[in-house]
Amino acid sequence: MGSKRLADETVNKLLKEFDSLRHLPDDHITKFQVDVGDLFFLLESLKFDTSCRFDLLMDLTAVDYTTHFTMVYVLYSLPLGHRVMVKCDIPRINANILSISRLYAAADVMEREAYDLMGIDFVGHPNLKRILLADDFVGHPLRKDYTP
Amino acid sequence: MDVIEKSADDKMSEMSRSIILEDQAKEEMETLLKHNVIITSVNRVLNWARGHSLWPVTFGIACCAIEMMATASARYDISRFGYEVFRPSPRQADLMIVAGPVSKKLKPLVERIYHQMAEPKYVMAMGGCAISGGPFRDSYAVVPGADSFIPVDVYVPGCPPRPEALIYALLQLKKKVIEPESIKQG
Repeated sequence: MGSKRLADETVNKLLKEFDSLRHLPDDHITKFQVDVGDLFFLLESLKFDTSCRFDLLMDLTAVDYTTHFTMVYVLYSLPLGHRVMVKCDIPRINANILSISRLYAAADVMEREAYDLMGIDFVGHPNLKRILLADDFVGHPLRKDYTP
Repeated sequence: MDVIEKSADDKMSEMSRSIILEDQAKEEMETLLKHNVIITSVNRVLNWARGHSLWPVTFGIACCAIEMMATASARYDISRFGYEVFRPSPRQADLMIVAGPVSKKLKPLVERIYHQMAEPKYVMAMGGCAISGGPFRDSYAVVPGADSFIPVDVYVPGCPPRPEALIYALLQLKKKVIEPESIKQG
């Protein structure tokens, strides 16, 4: 799928706007690392800024690094044809993060999946319950320390 | 003496009467057979009819269901045997082909479909996953075999089984339906 990187001036503008934002070097995709506090506002700017216009949430997932979880958001812009990846570290104990389902409707089911398999609490999600596993399932099987 | 003779006469007439009746019955039988009438027990006829027109419920779980669809399609064509009528409602079906791994979340739904089917009903476990859980046997999310919660009549091994295997299984099920005694001995 052909997709452009985010323009350098837009990247610089975003780096100025958010203190905690870091640009991670990558050969294929524009990649950002951001703190939890700035994440929602960053995604908001990425969606509504005229030079960004990321209107499609392609993927929302979580990675268990045993010391912490990393949330990964992949956004795509249908009108401008560019793509961006946003990463955000959250602590492993009491893992929670602000839900972006108000921003992207597609996040609803993706966040439910991350909750189901990783046990991340999405604050402000309208319907945070299990989606793939049975309702009476105990535990979150994609966590590295999961034992059935 | 008179009395004895009279009773012997009666016996003779009774015998001759029964012979006449027997002859009449034979004649009637022959005329019936000429009109293609065969006398048998109701169960045998019903089982024969059931065995030749098993209607599976439209129900597929995983890749085995793709093979099941191929079996129903023109190249393999199970309508040759009378089994092609996949019913969208379990009420109209008498065969459930469990074609794929049953996850713990799906288990209550499979159970419900099974209970919705009208008696007599038959179940076929198609492929390794439905037989024993297959490669997912030790998974936290998969039921180890469909026979752990519903009675299975025929097991079809394979991953997935070829359409020929499914046709063979259907024919085995036909045999089981028509002659239940042959399976009990087996």
